[in-house]
Amino acid sequence: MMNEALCTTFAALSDPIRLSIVERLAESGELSAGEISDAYAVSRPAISRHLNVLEQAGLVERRVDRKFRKFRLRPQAVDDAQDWFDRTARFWESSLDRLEKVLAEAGSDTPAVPPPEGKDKDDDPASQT
Amino acid sequence: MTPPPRLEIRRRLKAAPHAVYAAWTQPEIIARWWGPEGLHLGVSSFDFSEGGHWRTEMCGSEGQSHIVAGIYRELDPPRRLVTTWAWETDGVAGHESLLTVTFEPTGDGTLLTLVHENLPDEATAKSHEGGWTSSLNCLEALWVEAAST
Repeated sequence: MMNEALCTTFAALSDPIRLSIVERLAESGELSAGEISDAYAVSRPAISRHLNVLEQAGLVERRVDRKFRKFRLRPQAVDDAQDWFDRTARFWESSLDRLEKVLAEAGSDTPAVPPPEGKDKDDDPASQT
Repeated sequence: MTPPPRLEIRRRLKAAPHAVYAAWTQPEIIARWWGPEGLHLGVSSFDFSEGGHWRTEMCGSEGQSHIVAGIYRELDPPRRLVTTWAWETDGVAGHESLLTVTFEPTGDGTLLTLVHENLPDEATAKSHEGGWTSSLNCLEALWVEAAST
């Protein structure tokens, strides 16, 4: 489910205004809807809609401070993306180390790895120097 | 702590491209290297055709299990392999990414280039084409900022 959220995260950030809002929040920590809105030449309702999209994507969270709506980044969304990356990088680095060993073994003491089935054999399958 | 959403790894391998390609497309060879050290391949299936599904389970000695699955988009022996990729959690497929592996002949073997990209869903990708790359570049900066708060 977290990974589904990651997809929504990327989608939410693919709009230039929303991306800019997120960057602004990353710099400022917390801003009110008014402060965010003042920075853009689009209507307040439009900014409000963008903020809703960001909130639904889990990128920002809001709280109401007296009558002001305040927004800030939600670090969890960023962590999810980081987790995906770490996990995938670990998978590949380790797998490719093992692949290297398997190929080295195949080159020395076991018969050459045959070419894929159904392929013509003109690609000199014997070239296991 | 600056993860780009695109992972690229290059390896020079001392084996001909067809041998490296075979290691990616023959289950008995895949079983010997797929997944991090210490895990072994559990129940897995591969349909090596374009549009074909594959699914692998990696099992640890303490009963842990990691499942990843995808669909082959392109199989071009012995040059290129493209597949979708999604980790599965509790039977639910997660965010889909795209894996492209190319095998280029070099003097004494193969240069393997692996690109693992995190993608939005197709509808999103279509509606945002141009803006996407710059969004991702900025996202990288965002990660740095957020990580330091």
